Amino acid sequence: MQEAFPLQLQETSEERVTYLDTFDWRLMDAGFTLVAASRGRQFRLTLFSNDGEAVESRSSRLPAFADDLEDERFRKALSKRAKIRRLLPQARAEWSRQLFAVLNEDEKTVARILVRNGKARVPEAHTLQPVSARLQLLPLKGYGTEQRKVATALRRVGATRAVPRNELHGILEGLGSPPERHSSSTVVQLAPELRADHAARIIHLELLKTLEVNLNGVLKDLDTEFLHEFRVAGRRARSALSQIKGVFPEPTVNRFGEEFRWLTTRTGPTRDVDVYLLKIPSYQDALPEGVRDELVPLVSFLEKKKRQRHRRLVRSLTSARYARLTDSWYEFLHEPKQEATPTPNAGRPIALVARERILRAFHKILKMGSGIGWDTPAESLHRLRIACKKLRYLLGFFQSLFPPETLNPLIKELKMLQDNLGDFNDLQVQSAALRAFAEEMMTTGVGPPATLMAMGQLMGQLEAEQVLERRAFHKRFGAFARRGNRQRFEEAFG
Amino acid sequence: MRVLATYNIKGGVGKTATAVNLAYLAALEGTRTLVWDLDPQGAASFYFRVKARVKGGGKGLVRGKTALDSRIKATDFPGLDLLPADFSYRHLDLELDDTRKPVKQIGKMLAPLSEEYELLIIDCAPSISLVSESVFRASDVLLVPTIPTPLALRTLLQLLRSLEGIRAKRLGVYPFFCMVDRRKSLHRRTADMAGEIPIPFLRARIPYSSLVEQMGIYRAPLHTFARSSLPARAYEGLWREIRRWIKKKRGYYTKG
Repeated sequence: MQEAFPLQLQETSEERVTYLDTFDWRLMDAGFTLVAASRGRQFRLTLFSNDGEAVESRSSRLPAFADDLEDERFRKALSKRAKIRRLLPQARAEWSRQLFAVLNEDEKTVARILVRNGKARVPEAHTLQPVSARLQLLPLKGYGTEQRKVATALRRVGATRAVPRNELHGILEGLGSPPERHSSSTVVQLAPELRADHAARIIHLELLKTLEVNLNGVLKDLDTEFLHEFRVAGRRARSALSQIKGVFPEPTVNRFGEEFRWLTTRTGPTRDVDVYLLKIPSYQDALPEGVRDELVPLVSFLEKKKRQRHRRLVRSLTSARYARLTDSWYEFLHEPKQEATPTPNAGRPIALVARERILRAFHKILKMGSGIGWDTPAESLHRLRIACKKLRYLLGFFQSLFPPETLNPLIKELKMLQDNLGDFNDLQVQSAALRAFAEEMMTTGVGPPATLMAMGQLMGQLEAEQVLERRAFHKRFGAFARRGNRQRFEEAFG
Repeated sequence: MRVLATYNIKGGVGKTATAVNLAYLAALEGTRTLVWDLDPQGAASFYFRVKARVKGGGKGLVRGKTALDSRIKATDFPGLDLLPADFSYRHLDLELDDTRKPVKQIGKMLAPLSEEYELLIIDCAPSISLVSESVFRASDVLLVPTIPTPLALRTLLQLLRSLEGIRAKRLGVYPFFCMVDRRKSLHRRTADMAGEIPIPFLRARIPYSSLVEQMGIYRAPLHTFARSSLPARAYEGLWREIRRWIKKKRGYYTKG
């Protein structure tokens, strides 16, 4: 190595760094790592791809969101991957660094090699653990040919891998805590002949796990997505209880159904404010340019509301009732499997039960939807939306039982109908909420007339959009209920 | 991206040393900086130890066949890149003349770089030509290193007159004294004559020093081997002064 490429030690230094990523590892999944290195009172931020392409910037504090950063180029590169999600510390490390320059015949640097030794920890851990040393080839613009030669030489001596890995991923694995996924849409693997009650237990355990892993993020309000996932997991659990019928004893279903309903009502208010806060940019876009800033009082009103509601939510989720719910639910799901079948479906194979339940939910939608005319009240569309959601959840729970090429077109068709119903409902809820907010802002004296007028303008727009969605519904439902789609459903699950 | 060009009709006045040292100081402060060595002699490229060769030559760049970005080389200093010189740049005039709007061509070529770099320093070749006119049109700041002799002041006046005929609205012209030798009474007297030039000189004066010439031996910016020398400090003063003007100007390319 040394003979072929003269190396020069350029710098040795110590460095303390924090690795940042979103709760759902968006940077890692896109093949990037974001590192903040303390430099006195500043941080040097580096966003680098797995093969070493990097952008750098400086910041006076650890960024919580991509939008916090002033440097336009860095902000763009980061928000392209992290979007609106919060950047959370995912690991900390202390490195001893040695930076070598690879020189050409003019003693010009054509590449750099960074060697690091050190220790790391996940944010929750108190002590640092040694991690394996890292050798990295840092590219220099315009010297691709030289780099490829150096890279080949490094691989030949076994110093680097052919396929570069994600740095944060490597560190977390080295620490024995690979990145956790928090989503309730995780596919549960089920064997078709599995007893239905066992299958239901597996599904519920997965949902309970989702509740648990998101709880901390909800309590600390790290990112709105934690509450969203938490809430969806609770709703799915409730839906699974009522939809996978006849597998658990009646009293159990009733008791936990009631508890999960309670959980949904507790999490709703905070999620609602979250949604409005997230919608503010699109509201601003919908307004004429001169009026956009009038929404600022609405933002501070919502932020105050968010704090109040979040405090209440924390009280609910740290209550004895919540602890009892999760503890006893966990206990029930882990009960030794009984041989006797006290309930009609418990002992049947899950594939059969799944087919029945899915078809039943599908027929219900067809029946409800065909009864909706041009003048049917909005309430019926709302009920149809819920019925669609139940079917969607069922398809999700039992995804592993059916081939994807059968399932995906059906899900796609259902999703289009759901989007239409969801938008319709959203618009209605939004304009009603804006009206309620406006009234409250007026009575508490925090709503300047210009703000209230801007909100009025928004409500008008939302209502106009709602009319359009309502018109689109009939076409959408017609497509969903057409014979071809019905046949596909019957064939897949009949 | 702000564009700064170092230029003089005369050669050998410290143009390249100014471009290289200011670029180094800018990058040291964290400004993402690119130097374009537009002088076919390739002195700036030599200082940065980069081969003065651009694949496809000036022709490829002007005709849009090769993107400027693909020919950029990183220097040994973080945040400081170089677009090297090429001997074919001596025909750049002819190449520009072949384009539809020659005087706007350089600006057009630079536009894609505007996001990646905050500062572009163009080291121009001496002489007045289509190339220099196109550079003036694309620049925010024109730095004119001037040796304090009557002849040099006359050349500066010539330049200012020729600039009057060029539509380069956002260009600010900043002459400053370079290679100043306090021992020469001629230099002292000429420096006092600066009042005859219709635009003010910058305050910084770069002294004559063999250290500046040694940049060619070390093949590196002055600060890397003589950080606290007099000329190094003079360049720092020049950078502080010019930085203000760069920041004040609204960038042309920042609009996207």
